[in-house]
Amino acid sequence: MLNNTTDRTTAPALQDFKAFTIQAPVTHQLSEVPVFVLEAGDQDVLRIDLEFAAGSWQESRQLSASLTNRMLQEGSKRRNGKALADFFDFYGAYLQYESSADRSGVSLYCLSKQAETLLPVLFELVFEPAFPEEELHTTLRNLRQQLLVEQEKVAFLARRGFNAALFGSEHPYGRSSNDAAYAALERKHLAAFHRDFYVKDRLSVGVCGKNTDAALPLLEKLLKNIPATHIPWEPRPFTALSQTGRVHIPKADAIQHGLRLGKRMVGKTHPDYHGLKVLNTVLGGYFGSRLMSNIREDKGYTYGIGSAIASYEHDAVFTIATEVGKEVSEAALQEIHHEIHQLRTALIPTEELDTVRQYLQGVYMSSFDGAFALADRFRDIHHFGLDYDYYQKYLQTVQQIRPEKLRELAVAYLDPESMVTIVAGG
Amino acid sequence: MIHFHKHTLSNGLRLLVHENPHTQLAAVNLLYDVGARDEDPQRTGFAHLFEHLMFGGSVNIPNYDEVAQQLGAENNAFTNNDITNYYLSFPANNLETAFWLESDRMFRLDFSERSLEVQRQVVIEEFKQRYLNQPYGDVWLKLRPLAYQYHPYKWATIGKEIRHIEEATLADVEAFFYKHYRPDNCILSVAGNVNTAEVIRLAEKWFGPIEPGNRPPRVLPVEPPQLVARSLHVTAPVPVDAFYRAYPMPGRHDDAYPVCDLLSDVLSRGKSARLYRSLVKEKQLLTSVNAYVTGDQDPGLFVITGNLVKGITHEEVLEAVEAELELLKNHPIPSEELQKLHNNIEATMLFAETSVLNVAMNLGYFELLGDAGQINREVARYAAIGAGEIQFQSHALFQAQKANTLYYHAE
Repeated sequence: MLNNTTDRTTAPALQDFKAFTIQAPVTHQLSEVPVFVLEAGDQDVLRIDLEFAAGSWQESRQLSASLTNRMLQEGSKRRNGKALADFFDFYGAYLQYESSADRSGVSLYCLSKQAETLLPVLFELVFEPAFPEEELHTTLRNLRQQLLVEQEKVAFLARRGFNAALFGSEHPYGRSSNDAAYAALERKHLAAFHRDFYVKDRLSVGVCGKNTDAALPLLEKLLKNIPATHIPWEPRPFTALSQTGRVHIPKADAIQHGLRLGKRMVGKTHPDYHGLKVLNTVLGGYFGSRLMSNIREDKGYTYGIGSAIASYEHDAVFTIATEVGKEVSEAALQEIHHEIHQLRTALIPTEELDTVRQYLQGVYMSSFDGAFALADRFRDIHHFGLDYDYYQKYLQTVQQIRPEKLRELAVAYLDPESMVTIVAGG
Repeated sequence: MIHFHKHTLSNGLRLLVHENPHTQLAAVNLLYDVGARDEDPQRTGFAHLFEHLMFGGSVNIPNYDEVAQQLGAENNAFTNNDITNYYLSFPANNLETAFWLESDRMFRLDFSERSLEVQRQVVIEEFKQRYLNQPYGDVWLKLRPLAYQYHPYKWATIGKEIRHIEEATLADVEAFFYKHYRPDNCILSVAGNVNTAEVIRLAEKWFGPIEPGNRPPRVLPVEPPQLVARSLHVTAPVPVDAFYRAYPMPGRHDDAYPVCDLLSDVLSRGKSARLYRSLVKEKQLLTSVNAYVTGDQDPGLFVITGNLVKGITHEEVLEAVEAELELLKNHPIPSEELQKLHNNIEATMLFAETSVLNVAMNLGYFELLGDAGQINREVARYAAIGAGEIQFQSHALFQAQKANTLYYHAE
């Protein structure tokens, strides 16, 4: 017979959060370029990031930042796109291209033993692109067709409308891919963007994983030969629109509405930011959040709803996003407003706040797990001029912030009158 | 190399433990050997609906999510045709809480009419969001019944239709639980900053007392060999034409499975792969292309899919696709290309080892297939596959009378 004496009615005692030291990168200056090295992990793999301060913030022609980045793989001065793909694929290496409003870059994921073979070709791909006309034509045509598919999704329409409402469609954070911009893009725009912004003084390099040392001498040699800025860039001032009220985006025969509410928010360098992260978690930042509990788990209006604060280098955004059955879309909006109102008028009960503290501490620990995560967390502060003190303060806020302070933040920052509401579909 | 220890409880629960002192985290994975293929044909979508109900509270823990959050866990679950898999990763010093949490819902779920009612509604919204309100979202609702006539893979995990989800009753829920959610139908894997002896102690303490279910062996209809090609034309409010072609292929237990897996890599893994080079880049017939295996335990599908460039016809595309398949049949793949495939497998396996959650999941899945130790032999198994086997398998797979093709025509 099985013994059935385990007492299930008493929960095992939860252990206190175990403080740990965050491993910071070792910084080298190789051929005048900052190289951040994180030796960590026990698999023989590496990630090498080449990252430039070259996002849509810098582009004078819409989409040239992201297309420049995407077109790097289509051919260098010595190898066509097929030869480049053959080369990296042969070694089981993987290239990841990223282009955001603030930065663009390429990351190489590979076995450590192959770094020295792959690095010279990575540099060739990044610094000597050919931007072949015909490949650009094909890429643009494919992107324009993919855009048609995206435009059939209410979540996409809501996101695009939301960014445009907060910033205006000319602003780097408000722009989005659109057919006219694709159609107007030419090879010369990419070549110019590359010449002006894929330069030494805009570059930072990350090397993380195991056996990082082996890659450094070659890296130093390769970095010697890359060009510096030839003309200084004058940043342009942008004014954000900060539209409020309600925007309806039609889409025939949608059976769900894409909803997005939110506003511009203070960013990472602001003293209230950490507290707002906690407040956002209570509202919509985890599975047990108030929005999920109410709108999914109690009402069953949606498969998912969440809120987030995203900090860019020049601005930040608070967003609530969901897709709901069109017949319950008004009711869902009402419940969202109800939950915001609650945060602004009532104190968060201790028990709920304790759960959020526990949850955020666990996520905090996970967010530093492994070499790649450590490198990402470093980038998250480095590009904002912050140091590791930022994480100490965040953890302190998570552990100590009072319900009164959170209500104050809700009153100051979550006024529904200051937000825009996008309803896409129907 | 993943070192692990296996221990079987007297109630049949299989436990796998992998120690990794380099992380602060622990991952706990519970794989239940039940999926959409085990459903009543009149109650499809049930395994997945049930997965939602598993978060509705258990007899001693009314709110699963709250405890998971107090644990600092990132957790979720997924259901497919074969399995239902639950996982958490969290700071390792709270391992016992995870055992309490997961064992309580295996011990006895709190069957509640209210929870069923809400989750039915949530799943219906999921059905709409993912399958109905997206361009091509309904592809598997259409392709499965085309490719299968008898085997339960003929319905999608979400269910054949919304009505089946609406009709689920609490009695169904309870019966399903006692049939499938028993320790002898589960594989528990734990990876991370843990101690094997301690994990075994906790497993005995929390899972040991749960009664086994002795589920009878699974008997499913067998899909007969396909003798005639099938096709379905759909005119839909999609912006561009698209095609999905599925060939029947061997299941996970078959020696031919990894060969088919490599064939899908030949065709579409990375920008150097054949279909991308030929159909997207050179001939410019498609804007995107993909080939993959469904990875099912019973005989599954080898899928080739693409979105057409405007103005190109389905006939032109399929002719070009078939020309590529003929090349595979008539010429052994060059040794450099074969080496590329092997290198890719090695790299993929190594990157997967960098996350303890991945390790826990993979150990559980290989154990389900027969032996968790296979996790350390996969690279060698793939490396042993030669050009001859790939060529032979392409003959077996790509036969005109075995093709199932779904054509989307833009309205």
